[in-house]
Amino acid sequence: MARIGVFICHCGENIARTVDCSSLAKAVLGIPGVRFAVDYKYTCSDPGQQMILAAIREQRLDGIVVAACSPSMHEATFRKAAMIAGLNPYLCEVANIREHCSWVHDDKPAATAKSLDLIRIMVEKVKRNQELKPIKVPITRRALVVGGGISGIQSALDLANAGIPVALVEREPSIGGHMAQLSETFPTLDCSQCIMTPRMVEVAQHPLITLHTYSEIEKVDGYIGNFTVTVRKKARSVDLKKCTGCGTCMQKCPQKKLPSSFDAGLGQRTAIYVPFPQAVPNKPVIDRANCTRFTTGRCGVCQKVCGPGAIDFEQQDELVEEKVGAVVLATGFQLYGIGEQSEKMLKGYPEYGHGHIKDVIDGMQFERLASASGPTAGEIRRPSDGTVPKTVVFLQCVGSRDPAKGISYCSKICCMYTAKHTILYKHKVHDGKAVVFYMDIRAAGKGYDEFTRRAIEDDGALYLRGRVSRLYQDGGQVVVSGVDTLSGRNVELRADLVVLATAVRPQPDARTTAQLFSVGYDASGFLNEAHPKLRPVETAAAGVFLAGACQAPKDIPESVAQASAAASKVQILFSKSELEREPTVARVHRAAPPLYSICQGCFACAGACPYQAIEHEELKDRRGQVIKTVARVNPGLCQGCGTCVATCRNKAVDLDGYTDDQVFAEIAALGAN
Amino acid sequence: MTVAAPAAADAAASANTVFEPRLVAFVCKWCTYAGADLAGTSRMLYPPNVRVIKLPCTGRIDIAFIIRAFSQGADGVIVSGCHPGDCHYSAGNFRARRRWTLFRDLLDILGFDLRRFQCAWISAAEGTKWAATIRDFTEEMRALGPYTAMRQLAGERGAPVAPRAAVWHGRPARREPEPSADPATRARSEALAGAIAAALTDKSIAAAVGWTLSPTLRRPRPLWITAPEEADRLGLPGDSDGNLARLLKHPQLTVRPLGMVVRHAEMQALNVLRQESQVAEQDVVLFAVARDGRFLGRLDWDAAVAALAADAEGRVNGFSPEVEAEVSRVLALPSAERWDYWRTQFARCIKCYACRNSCPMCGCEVCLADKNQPQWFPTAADGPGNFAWHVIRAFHLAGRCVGCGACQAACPAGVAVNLLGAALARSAAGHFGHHAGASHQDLPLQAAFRTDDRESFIK
Amino acid sequence: MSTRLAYFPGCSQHGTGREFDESIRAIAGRLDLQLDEIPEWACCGATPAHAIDPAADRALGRWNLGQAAKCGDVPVMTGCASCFARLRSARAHAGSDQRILHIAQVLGEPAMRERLKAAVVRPLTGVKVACYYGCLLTRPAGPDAIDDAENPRLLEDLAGLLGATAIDFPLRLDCCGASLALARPDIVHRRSGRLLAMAQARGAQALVVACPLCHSNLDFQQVAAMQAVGAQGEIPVLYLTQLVGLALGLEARQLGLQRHFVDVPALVGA
Repeated sequence: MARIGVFICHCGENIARTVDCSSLAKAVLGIPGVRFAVDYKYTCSDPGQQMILAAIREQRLDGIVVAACSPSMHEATFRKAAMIAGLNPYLCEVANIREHCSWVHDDKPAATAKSLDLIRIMVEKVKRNQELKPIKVPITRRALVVGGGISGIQSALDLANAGIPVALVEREPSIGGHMAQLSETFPTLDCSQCIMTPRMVEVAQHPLITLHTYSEIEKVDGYIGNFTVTVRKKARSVDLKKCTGCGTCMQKCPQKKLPSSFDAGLGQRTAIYVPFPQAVPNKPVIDRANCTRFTTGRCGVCQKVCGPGAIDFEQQDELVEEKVGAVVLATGFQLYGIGEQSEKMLKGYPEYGHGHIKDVIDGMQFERLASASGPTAGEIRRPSDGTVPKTVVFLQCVGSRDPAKGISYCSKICCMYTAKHTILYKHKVHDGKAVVFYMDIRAAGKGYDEFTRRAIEDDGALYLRGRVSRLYQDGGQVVVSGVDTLSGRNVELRADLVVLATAVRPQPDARTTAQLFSVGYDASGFLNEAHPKLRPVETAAAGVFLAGACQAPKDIPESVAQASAAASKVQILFSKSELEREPTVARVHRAAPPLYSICQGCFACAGACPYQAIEHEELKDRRGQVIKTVARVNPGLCQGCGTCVATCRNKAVDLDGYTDDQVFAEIAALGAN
Repeated sequence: MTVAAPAAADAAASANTVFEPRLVAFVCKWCTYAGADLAGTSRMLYPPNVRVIKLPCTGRIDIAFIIRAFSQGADGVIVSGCHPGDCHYSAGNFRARRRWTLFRDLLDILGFDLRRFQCAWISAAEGTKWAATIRDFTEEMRALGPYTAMRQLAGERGAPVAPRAAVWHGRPARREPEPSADPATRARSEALAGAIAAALTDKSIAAAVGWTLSPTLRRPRPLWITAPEEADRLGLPGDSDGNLARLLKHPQLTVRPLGMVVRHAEMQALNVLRQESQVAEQDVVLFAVARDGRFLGRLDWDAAVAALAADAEGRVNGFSPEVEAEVSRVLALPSAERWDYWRTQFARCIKCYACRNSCPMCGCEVCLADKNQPQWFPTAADGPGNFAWHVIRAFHLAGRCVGCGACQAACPAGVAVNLLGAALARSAAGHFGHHAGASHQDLPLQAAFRTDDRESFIK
Repeated sequence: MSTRLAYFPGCSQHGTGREFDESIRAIAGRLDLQLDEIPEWACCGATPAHAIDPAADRALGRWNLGQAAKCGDVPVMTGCASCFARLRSARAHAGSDQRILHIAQVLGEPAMRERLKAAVVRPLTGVKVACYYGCLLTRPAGPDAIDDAENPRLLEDLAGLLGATAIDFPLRLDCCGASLALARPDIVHRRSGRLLAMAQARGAQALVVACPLCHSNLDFQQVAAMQAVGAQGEIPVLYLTQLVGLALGLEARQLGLQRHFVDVPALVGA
């Protein structure tokens, strides 16, 4: 027979005002199995805890129920007290008679009766509670960072500088990401490459960082502390060990007119190429889709001219396994394209020429025009004829904040970079005219509003509040037809160049990334944090953290801050040698032969499990003969939701802490009176 | 003062002629439990009728809990958790949502008053919604009065209170055909027997299951043979209601590969069993027989599925037109009459479990009915026991029942057991486009989900 | 097999836009379209009704849909952009599932395109036209709209089927000034003038329209419109159905071309 103790808290007047605690304590004694009941003013106080301690010892209690505030407030407090008294903490339960009762009812007899029921439920549960021990999981003290933009670089460097080995995976042939493409950065106008490239070099030279460029994540297995990630190193066709990075192959490559994606399509590159001069690693890769050798089988000039013999046309993709304890996802963003969109919900902008008007470019293309390392060596020259544009019109919110175009959110960075663009333009073309169409100017941030004021007041950019309905080519110019809503007039301008601040969107394969790592994503495809306020870098998948614009549009300072936050979360995780996890996990039935297990291996549970925690296990007899294949729950992966239990038809699986037996007993407690 | 026990509260309530319903809420601990906490910290008043049972996730809520709550005297049950997309466990609530959809449709055909079972999404931020939901639900249940239907069942013991007319065999009465002297039929039968004999001879199968004409029953009954010379006892299945796929679970028939005479119903059952890893492609060798008696040959899996597909014609989700017509008739009844229909049906049940033992899908090594720790439902063949058995069995077959009618044919009491299967098959097809046994690659209905599954019934 | 449609001509087609009606009926004969004129149809209410008295607008809409139903279970077809918009709106208000089609949509349906292609006897090869939708024909956007509101291709595609070349005409969705023709003709002249001048400057030999009000502003008011923007010359304005009729080998009179203020020269060697 159980020996349960019940402690009823007055919470000062908070509970006692509407619940008759002393008569409740007497009534509770009538519940079978309750050996001790007492009411007390403040159970969570030190004397209150001492009282629990003493009662457990003196009454030899084998389970306690504290009827008090919500378990989210003090369950941990009372469980700790139970533990000190020598009782397994999972034999302590809290009946919530404050938030769920005294605070929401004003009828004292009814509230008292309800409290009795709530205690009865918990008494029946605690009678069937089992002693549980936290699950301990060893940790692999090594981290994986996915994405080599500024966020990934920051996370990787922080971790490596803290002494943690890091594997950094980047899809492109070089790390650097979007920040390497930028000209100057707001609000200080310091040169992006000047602050970026030293960090890239630091990554390359750091002894604790293993760099996988031109690589993608193939497969993710395991769980917090123990991930096994398979990385596909795409065939570069260049042996990195032999290549000296001399560049002769690129000079001799006959295929020279391929659009450079680093230059946002405005510049050209060869088929064997380094994306940009400061690339890390500064060694080329062959673009097999466009290399004559691969498309026709002829050519091979690069191989002939390569002194060290680094060119390897036969090279195959290589799969590398990385065993890590934590993952930082820093996969970044893409820009909304105004052309035809593959995703149905995004319409593109036919009214802006659908990407067919040459002198209508996006913000990243303008960055390349303004960049000293760009295709025009930093001179603002328009793509169609290379002339210097005298009137440049900037359109903000192209895609953003427009549900009709499929995106309802604000892209956050465009107000600032458009202001920066106008300033850069005015600094380079003194007699030029910069006109900005905006919806609102959102310049919240240190020095941000001052920066937009500077664009308007010092550099004379003309800001018009309104939208543009149509862009079309007319002669050598682009007609911009819009409205100035402040004056209430239609505006028609003839621009030499139009720059669209297109929306920040998740990477095209963000959903695939999310599914690989079991991370949630929102309707737009941005990866979801675990809690929007209190757990902004964690994800629903334990041990996987977020950094940068893969989570939402972010500027550089925010991305860097989040990247450092993610790195420090990983360090917190790695500060212990073993992980302790809540032991409320599911368990599949096992028994002695000849039954072995009532599980019949239909694996409906595996389909229902959100965490892929269900494994196949072969049950064998003494001679090693396989009796049958049944389910097994990996306690490291199981998060304890119990969906498998409700899915299993003959209940071969049950959930510790919330067993079927317990729930039925709780329901029965309600019918008992 | 003394504590007013709820019984006393009931008495007091009846004195004031205000009925105080007992409500049970099954909530997830991350969203709705915390939402109820928020209602508390915000001091929002609501009626004290609800008792909360905390679970980790709505995905944990077993429909048996809901049935138990009603049979323990609840007047209303509410289930609530995180909004879709917000599940702490990322997708537990999507599974719960499917389960609730199916369970509601099951309750509906039973004539259960659906107003008493409410589903909601209440987030940790929605204290107001929690308070309002409880307020409204309490008001609604007060107006509806005590829920007595389930308690009345308790008085109904296994004696057949139902008139003989309630006996339902799922198809029009008919006389079994005489063993055919028709030469065409005989030729088909011999072709089938010959193919099986050949397979036994060349040892490509270790045993075979098929049909033989029972001289006493004057209808085909299952037969298993292990030697080629026994093959001449095999005949055509006709439209026998049994399902040979059931024999895969027979404790003595463990040899593989097993030859099997398959019709459309067997093939569908095999598809489901293969989905559930209960049979592998190499375990069975298929001898397909069309509904019209043509022997289609020894076929591999996909070919057998394709060759037998035409036999689905005229059937709805695998069920015969007679069953479908009866489901439609029952569904058209007012809900009180539906409930009475099932009361009289279930009252006939003697809990012999013939339905279970004839079903190709009921393959659990230890059936829930045989477990007593905990006791999932009363074992007695009385009102509550029969109700819980049939409801839970039907639910376990949701998305799996292929409509073969084996259970119906096996039931000695003429309980309309496969109507519930047919109603749930409609639900599965209508809401989720799921057809049991359509392919061995389908995902199990209750484990899978779509983020845009219907949820108009969830508040 | 003949395609049956409930035909809603609308007031304009009985007045200033008679040639639109004539050309619709003329090509219908050639394309095996059976037009059942809706008995006792009423004015759709155009802009004034819904702007001034929504109740009147609803009443007119209900009446017209009710009358259309008397033609049987066939789609309702109209040529006028305004009638089309009002009928769509009436249908939405009534929650009806009646199909409302514009003549351009009817011609654009895949089967009809085939029929059209086969019926062309005088391909308009080499003829450059500016397809002008106006502001109303593609709007409001929705599944029942004739085409994408911002990037329609329907008129260009149809012109292409006839052998003509549609020029790039950025102002094709801009307003012609519409019913301001009486109250503020200056605005109409400026707006229409811009359209005409651009079409002309970009080498169009004709403008193709599908709305009687646009036609009136661009054809009847063309001299004043051209003056308002300081442009010279003239450019014929054809209804889509007239363009189709020419390609089908119909005579100018059958298509009502003689009613235009700006003469329509022989576009092709006929």
